[in-house]
Amino acid sequence: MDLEIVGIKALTMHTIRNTVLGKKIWVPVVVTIFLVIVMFYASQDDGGLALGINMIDSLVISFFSVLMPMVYGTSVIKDSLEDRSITNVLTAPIDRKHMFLTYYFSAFVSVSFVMLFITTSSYLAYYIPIGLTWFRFDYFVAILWLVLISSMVYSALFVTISFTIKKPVYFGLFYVFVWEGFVGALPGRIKEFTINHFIRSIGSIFIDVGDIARYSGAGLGTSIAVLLLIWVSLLALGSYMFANKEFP
Amino acid sequence: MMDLIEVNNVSKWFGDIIALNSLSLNIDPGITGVVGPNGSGKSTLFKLLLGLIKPNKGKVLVKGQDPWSNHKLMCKIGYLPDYEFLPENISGFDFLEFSGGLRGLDGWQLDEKIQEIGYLVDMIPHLDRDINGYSKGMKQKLKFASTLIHEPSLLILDEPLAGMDPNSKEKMIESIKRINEEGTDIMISSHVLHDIEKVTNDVVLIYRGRSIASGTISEIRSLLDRYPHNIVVRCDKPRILAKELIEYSWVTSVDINENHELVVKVFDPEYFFKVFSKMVIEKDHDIKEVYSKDEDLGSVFKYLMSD
Repeated sequence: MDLEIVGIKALTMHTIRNTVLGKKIWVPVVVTIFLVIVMFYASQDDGGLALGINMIDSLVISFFSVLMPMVYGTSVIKDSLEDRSITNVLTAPIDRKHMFLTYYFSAFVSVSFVMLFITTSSYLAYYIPIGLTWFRFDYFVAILWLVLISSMVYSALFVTISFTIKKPVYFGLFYVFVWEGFVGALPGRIKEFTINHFIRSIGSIFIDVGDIARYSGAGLGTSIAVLLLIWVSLLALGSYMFANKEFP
Repeated sequence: MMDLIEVNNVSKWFGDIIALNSLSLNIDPGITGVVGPNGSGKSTLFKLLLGLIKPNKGKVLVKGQDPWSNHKLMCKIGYLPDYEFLPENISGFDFLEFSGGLRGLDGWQLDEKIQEIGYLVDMIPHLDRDINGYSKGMKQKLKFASTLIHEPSLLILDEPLAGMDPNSKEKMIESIKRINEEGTDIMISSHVLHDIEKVTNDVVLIYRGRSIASGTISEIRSLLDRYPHNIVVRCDKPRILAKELIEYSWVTSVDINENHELVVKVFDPEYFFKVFSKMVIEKDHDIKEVYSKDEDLGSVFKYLMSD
């Protein structure tokens, strides 16, 4: 096997293991417990299918799908910069651009794994108590897709800022709560400047129940094109900046 | 023959701090010691050679290639930094497996290599343990092992002997020499000339970001002997003692500092101590303290810089 591919494989495995099973192992556990309790409590109301979708929309699609990539994405490079273990990686025969993409891919896989677990647990915590006859598999698959798309785009954003600005977590918190959370909830067209707007727009096409079904967003083609453009731009920018960054 | 390393008029600064100042060096194959006090620019020089940073001015060539953005060159280089860089919550074996993987080794080839270098650095019994439980010396050995895993042709070792007990230090020196005999070129830094002397005869002295001398240890020593040593004498009557000392031809100058201590400049401090002790007994001087101001490497470098 090519020398660099072996290196990339080793870096991927190491980073995913450190990200998922490292210091932040308690994060998905706490989030899952919280969501399962909230969803179970909501299932005691007589809200049927629509309430479950609304809860998932508010909690998972609009909030934790942004927050979790921030938690993992901002730390994936930053942690190894702080404990200086990145020296071992930077002195390996791997192209710097590929190194960045490997870090991104590892963050994406870690976030996706965690988010799929959280989403499935939350979904089941609502639909098992109310009766699985209410369970709609197609909605469940659509929600998982939205979660994966969020992981893909937001991870690119947060991995890129993790080494380009000094306090990526502060930026991340501002972005999650103020920009995506507050600005994204404002009436008018300002919310079109949030990534979540396009993710919910895709959701409104595949889910025809609850608030998300009535969300007036961009069309499917436009949403996918915009998200792809943002994703590719962030990865290109991150690769370029990582390749040209000095590590004193 | 092509130089192993060429550093041509290189300057590197971080904000207001000048780490390297028009540094020029040519390093031949073999073992080369880079000696300089803390903050002299040794680590900055190594980071330039590894392409971790780029020079603000000048040119660096390693094996004839520019190291900046040159990942292919890294196949040939092993680097041991002077700081802690081991990840947390990982066993020694897993760390070596990770380091080897990063450098393109996998499968039985990697397992075999881990065993081989584990024996070399005497870490086989400890490889299954978590790194967090290692002593400083064990961590240093593991870091050293990770630099060797891909059989580099150039090893860059930044203060590898720092923090090691005498026994481990001896073993490390033995390993470094053996690796060199097998054909690996080595650059090794230290702020202790004595440590470097045990490893190599070829030395480069760096001070304040400049190369101030290079050559064999004996050449460096003879260079140092061209400069007077400062010896401080604390006594009751410095003026009387100064008057007596200035009579001797081997005393270059005598001065009284702001603490009313006598500062004596001599070329041969050993001879001074021999004669001075006899003089003190004969003339019954009340001496509180005598010490050399030049025992730290920094003072020696200051002398060389003033040339």
